[in-house]
Amino acid sequence: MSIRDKFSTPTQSNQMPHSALEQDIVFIAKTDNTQDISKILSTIVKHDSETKKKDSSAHNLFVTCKISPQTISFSYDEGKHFQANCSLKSTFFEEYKCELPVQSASNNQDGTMLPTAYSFKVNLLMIIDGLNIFGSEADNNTSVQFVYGGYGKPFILLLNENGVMATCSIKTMDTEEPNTFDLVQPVSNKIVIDSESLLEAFGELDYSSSRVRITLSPDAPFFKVQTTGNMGNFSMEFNPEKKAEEIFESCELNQSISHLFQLPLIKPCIKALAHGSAKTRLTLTVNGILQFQHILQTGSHLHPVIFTVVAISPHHYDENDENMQMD
Amino acid sequence: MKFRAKLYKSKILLKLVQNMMKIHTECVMHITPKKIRFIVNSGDIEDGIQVFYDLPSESFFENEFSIQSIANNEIQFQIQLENLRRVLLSAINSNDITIRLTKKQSEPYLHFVIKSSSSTVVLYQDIPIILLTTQQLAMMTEPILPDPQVYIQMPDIKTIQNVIDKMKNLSEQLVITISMKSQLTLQVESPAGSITTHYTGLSHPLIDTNKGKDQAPDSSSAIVDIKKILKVLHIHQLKPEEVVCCIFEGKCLLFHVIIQDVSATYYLPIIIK
Repeated sequence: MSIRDKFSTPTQSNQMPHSALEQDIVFIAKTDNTQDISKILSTIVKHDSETKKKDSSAHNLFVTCKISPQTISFSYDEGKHFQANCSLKSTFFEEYKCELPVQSASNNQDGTMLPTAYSFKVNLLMIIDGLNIFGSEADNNTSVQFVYGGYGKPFILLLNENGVMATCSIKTMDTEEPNTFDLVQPVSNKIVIDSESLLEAFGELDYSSSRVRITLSPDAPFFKVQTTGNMGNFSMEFNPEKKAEEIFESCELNQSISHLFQLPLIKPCIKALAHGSAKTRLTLTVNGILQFQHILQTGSHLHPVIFTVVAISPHHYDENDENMQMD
Repeated sequence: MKFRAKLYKSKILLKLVQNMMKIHTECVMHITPKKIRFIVNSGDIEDGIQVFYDLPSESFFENEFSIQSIANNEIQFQIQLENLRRVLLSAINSNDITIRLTKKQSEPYLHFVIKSSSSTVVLYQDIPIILLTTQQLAMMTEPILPDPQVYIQMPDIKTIQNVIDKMKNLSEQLVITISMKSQLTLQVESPAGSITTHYTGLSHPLIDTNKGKDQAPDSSSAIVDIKKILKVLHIHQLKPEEVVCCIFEGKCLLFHVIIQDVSATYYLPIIIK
């Protein structure tokens, strides 16, 4: 008698599983909008086409996660020249509790500052995988709960989709403070532009080029994007007949500033626009710091996603740049 | 040795063959008056997946079927799945497909005559096969196993495949735990963390076991290779009515799949630590 012959009609029983979180919990955040979180976190993932591997050892993107009573944010630096950051406000969640360590008597003497947030290094790709474990379609009924037990404890995701439960426990490590950039001194230009226009401006670039020149100026055409590559020269300018107020929502253009950037670093800044961005504040300083501040919208919530890119050092010119000098 | 049949349900057979190809490139066909069995073995015998697909002759060959051999009217042979797939694909718009065992220059072939639905075109296709003896077939029978420790009806296989697909980023090994209290747990673990998925409210098929109720364990676990189980779970593409999973402790993991009147049984090796 084979195993096949033994099967007949099914029997049924119901029992809820036993689950308990034994560790002390310092942070809990719960929401039904799992897919929105996955979308926001995915915008800062940079896809390196050269290093795309299929084995599990390369499935890492370590970011600094900061949890405060007001927000939970994720950011990472690539050297000193690229930073990506996204954050979720406590108001986005149905439930959000963060208990910072309380000052004890012995701390008063040495005057050390109390931390205003928990900070740790964690693998963002694992978090995104966890969020998408039941699929990444928008109409999923998945709820997620983030749980953190404090220094040294794992960052935990508890997911529930119609009674099926998944627990994703991710190791946390020590981290360093993210780089800070001076976006004001000595002189900077700022524009606030709607994302559709920005996407249009960068949309048709020759992405096979390695560099892009970005220029912001108080004189028409105000905003210029140029590449030089295998497909020749490409230059985008806004309609020179239009006034600055017609193109930008707002602007502060003090002097002409132009810098050269590595195009692969600009690409993720533009890709993020496709994820439901409403508008972007673009800042460019004389010292070569470029910052994209996108406002991504999910439902009625707004989420800032910020990319900071440092220009290629002005001492590294080569003959190709002669084609891209400003007039 | 003679074999001649008209093939019905060729589209389903094509889907089955495409599914078999996820496991390996060739298979053994064992045709008897009652059933057609496909045996697919991946890789080596020690470490591979073994699958047995059983199709009732009555349903796929109907009444127009004759088989004759000295071995109890049973024929068995080895065939390349890609050849079978191509022939079935070319027959996709035909209602009139005849298969015959033939010999060309003393080599055996499976000869297909495919008449198009408009009866204007006739296709002839020959697939080379390697005939096997009953002794050779006897070496490919299903493993002899005791009663399973635990068994359960799986939830939707497609979602399980998606879940395990994400888990494979963490580890090459998956731990499956079946509890006789209607629960199933899938888990992967690595120094970087762990992912656990937990299903409740599942059903258990009734199995005729020799064990008394007291002797049955509450739950049992098995460790399997993630890539292998992902290959098995492709069967969701055929939208099975039922998928049962059994753990034979220390021996293997079994999936029994029912797709209309076809049954597929998968034997997966268990990793013993």
